[in-house]
Amino acid sequence: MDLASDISALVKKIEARDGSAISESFRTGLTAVLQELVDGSEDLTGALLNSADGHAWAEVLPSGFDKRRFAAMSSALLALSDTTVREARKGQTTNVILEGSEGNIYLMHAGSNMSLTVFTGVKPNLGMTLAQTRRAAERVSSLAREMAAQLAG
Amino acid sequence: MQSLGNKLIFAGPVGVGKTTAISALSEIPPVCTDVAATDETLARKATTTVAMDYGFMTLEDGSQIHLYGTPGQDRFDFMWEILTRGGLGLVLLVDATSSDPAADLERYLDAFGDFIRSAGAVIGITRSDLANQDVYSAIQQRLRQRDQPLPVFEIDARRPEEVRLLIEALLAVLATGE
Repeated sequence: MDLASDISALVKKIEARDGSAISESFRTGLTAVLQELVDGSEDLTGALLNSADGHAWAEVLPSGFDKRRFAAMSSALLALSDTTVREARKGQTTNVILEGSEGNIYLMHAGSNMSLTVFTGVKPNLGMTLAQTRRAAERVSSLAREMAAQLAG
Repeated sequence: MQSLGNKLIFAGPVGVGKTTAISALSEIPPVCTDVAATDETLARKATTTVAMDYGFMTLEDGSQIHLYGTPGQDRFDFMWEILTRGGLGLVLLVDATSSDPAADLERYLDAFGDFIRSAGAVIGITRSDLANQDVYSAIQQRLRQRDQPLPVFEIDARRPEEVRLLIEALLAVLATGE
């Protein structure tokens, strides 16, 4: 089993070792990535990392946002996008862009079996925000790889 | 019958066989949104539906039926509301091997209550062959207590002819109710 590419398997292994839903140090690391992402952007107002089956793992969200509902909705949106992109033979989902009159929402995969959702204010810089979010998604993947290496070692 | 075809919705707990039933009936390869499960769902199966399933079938009289499957977990209840819009009826599946099938039944009857009142519903019990209790009677009794006399069938969700029976019963309910 390739733990670095299968984050749900990784989390199961962490659970088996620590007996908690997700190890606090891993969660703290993930939350730090999200916090840095939001703090480093003028456009971002929040970020959420969830498993592909709709459980929130880390979040930096404006008050009043229910992370459980957004985690479920993000996983549904991304899964439906994946299916549509695949059936239209357009490769794999790069990102999902939702444009609202008061701000945008972008979704993308972070490693396998995780998704990253970010929320923006009105009229964000699309290219810049997506690039920053993609970098954060890659950092999430590398954190997962490090965690996997630690568990293996 | 609407020319655009009729929309039916499959609901019920995780792992009851909603995706399987739609796959069994559909004339087209079903649209599925399965992802890897990370929670207690894993005890039952490796993947789970998180958005919807979609399939399509044509009845003998030529009428077209669109089949929509819902995710089972409560956290996806926003999809239940989205998918039932414009629907004509509900196929509610209950797993006979669950610890309390009648309680499962009630949970989904309540969650889809508004839709059932405006549409119709039929109950399908799956995995009866593996159950060590009389689930059929328990379900019937619970429906009587609730004064909701819905048709109940024991089915194998993998068998097209058995799932088709559910659809035909539901359409019969809809025809007499109108």
